[in-house]
Amino acid sequence: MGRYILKRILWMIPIILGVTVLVFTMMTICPGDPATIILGSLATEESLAAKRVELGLDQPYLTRLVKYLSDVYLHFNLGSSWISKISIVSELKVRLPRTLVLSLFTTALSFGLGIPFGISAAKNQGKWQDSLCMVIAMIGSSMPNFWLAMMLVLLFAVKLKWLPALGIGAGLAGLKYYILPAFSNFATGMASAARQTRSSMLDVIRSDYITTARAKGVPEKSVINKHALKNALIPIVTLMGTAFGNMLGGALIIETIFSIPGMGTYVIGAVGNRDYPVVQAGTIFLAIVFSIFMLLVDIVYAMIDPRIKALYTAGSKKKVKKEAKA
Amino acid sequence: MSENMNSPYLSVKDLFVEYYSNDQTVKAVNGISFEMEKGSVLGLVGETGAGKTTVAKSILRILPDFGCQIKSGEIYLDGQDLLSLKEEEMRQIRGNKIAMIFQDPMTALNPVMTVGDQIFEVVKLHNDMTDEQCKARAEEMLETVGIPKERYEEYPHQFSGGMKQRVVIAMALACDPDLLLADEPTTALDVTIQAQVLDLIRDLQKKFNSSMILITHDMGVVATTCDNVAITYAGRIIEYGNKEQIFHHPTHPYTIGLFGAIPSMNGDDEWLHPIEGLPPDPTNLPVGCSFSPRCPYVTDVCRQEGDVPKRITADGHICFCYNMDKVGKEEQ
Repeated sequence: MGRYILKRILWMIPIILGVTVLVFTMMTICPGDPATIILGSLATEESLAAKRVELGLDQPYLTRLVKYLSDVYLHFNLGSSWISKISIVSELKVRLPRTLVLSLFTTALSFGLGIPFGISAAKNQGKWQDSLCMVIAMIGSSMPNFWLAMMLVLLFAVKLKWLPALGIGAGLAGLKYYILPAFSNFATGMASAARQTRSSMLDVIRSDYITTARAKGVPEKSVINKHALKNALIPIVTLMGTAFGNMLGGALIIETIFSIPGMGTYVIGAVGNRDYPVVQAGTIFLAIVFSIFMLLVDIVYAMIDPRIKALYTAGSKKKVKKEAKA
Repeated sequence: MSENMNSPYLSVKDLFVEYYSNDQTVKAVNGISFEMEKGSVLGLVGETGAGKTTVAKSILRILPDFGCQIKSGEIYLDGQDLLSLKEEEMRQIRGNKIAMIFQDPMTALNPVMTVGDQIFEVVKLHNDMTDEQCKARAEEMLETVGIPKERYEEYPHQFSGGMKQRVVIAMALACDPDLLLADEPTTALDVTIQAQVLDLIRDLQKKFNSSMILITHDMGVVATTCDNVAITYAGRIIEYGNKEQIFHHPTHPYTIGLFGAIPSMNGDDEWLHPIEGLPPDPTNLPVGCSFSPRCPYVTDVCRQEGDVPKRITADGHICFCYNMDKVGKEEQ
């Protein structure tokens, strides 16, 4: 298992490199001249040319790419924003945790609610609980997050004044600033988690080993929680990986609505300004976060399902067996 | 309890079970009644879809909650009415007094639990023992079915089909059940393994002195294992008797057809003799005798509305056929 994790971490290197090259290339192809955007449309041709030399944009694509890769991966220097001149690393340090907290909070919320909904729907298939859960799921997936954000702000911030409408706070008390953003973005994730849990639970509940468990006299509660849930979780964990990716993406919109200075607002602003270093660094870090999360998902897989664990360790075990036979 | 001494150990009376799907009603079991003595082995024989498994699941009350219902009937085990028990009381019986061996060992074991834990679980549920004692019992059961106890911590995917079925058997017998329901225990297995597993079940059934209902469509298995045989067709028992009666003097045209479909080892038949036609559609059973559309002896009376009357010969051989006196006579 340790070998497998190490292998997966090593695999992240080409993935991150690929993402870097891809983003760099896309920014180059993208129309729009950073020098014009920085200096404004009234700037003279000479000052624009000077700016391009300063930014290194006069160099050919390959030269710039190689320089960027060596800066980032050999000197660990992400550079600084072309617009604000602030070091990117210092920005990432404060912004990345905010986006992470928001995305994890949202993911936890959607699965924390979606999984129990799905279980109760599957357990009571065809009864009112089932219909209720599925109606909630349908409503959840039909509400756009920006609309839900507005409605929540109107109710909880404007009318009831329970929670802040926008911005961020410091320390543990600052967590309350994440409540409305997280609830705005959780509905779609919750809906898909509930539906996936329901169908996966129904599949498992109908399977033979559940009948076996019942035939052994296992109490219904243990049949669901001990025998069924662990098997049903396998596809749900997969969904959790992709859902976290969606939450990261959704955070971009939510951060804008709630004026949270996170990765979303940072990168989106940088895209508009053709602030190449910021876009590239931001994307690389989001890719790293996503890769780590997917690795965690795979580790959870192996913990749940011994068959998958066996696949991971198969290489080394087979060798041992062959040696034993010889 | 003295009256229980005379009453049969297990008796099923007029059991009706229906499945529902897409506004259709599937009549799976249509008035099955039988009795069996303690320690005996009853073979429940019939084609796929004849309602054999449903009968076994009804006895254990593990039919799915959704889309399935026991319409009517009574099931008595040792004088106790199983269908009127509370769920919690029934749960105490499952795996303890009545245990079931399932058809497909590939899917009958939970893939994410070790085989040892799965046996341990049933022992722990029904016995007032410490964890160590339960584990020792589970290991003992593994050894009983011929699996080294070192494999306790292994998962089902590490076992072959025959080994998995041994685990299922170990699980079923772990609490010394009085009644064992074996639902086609060898159907999913390799022919070479079938005999081993069957021998194992039979030996253990004798050792533990359990009664057993063996569900099968294999007449060879019936011949080697059962004391009594019930032939089912379209959710009804159409013939019931002891092994000799069924094998030597079958009286129902369907039973005769079943034997006709077995290839003879010493004859020089070029073709098998299948029963013409298909089993009836359980959503739309024929009026009168369910076998009438396929029966070579069919007469007008067979297609009359109403159940076929039960006829018992002097030695207790039961047959549900209007024309049983004519059946098989013309060939001799």
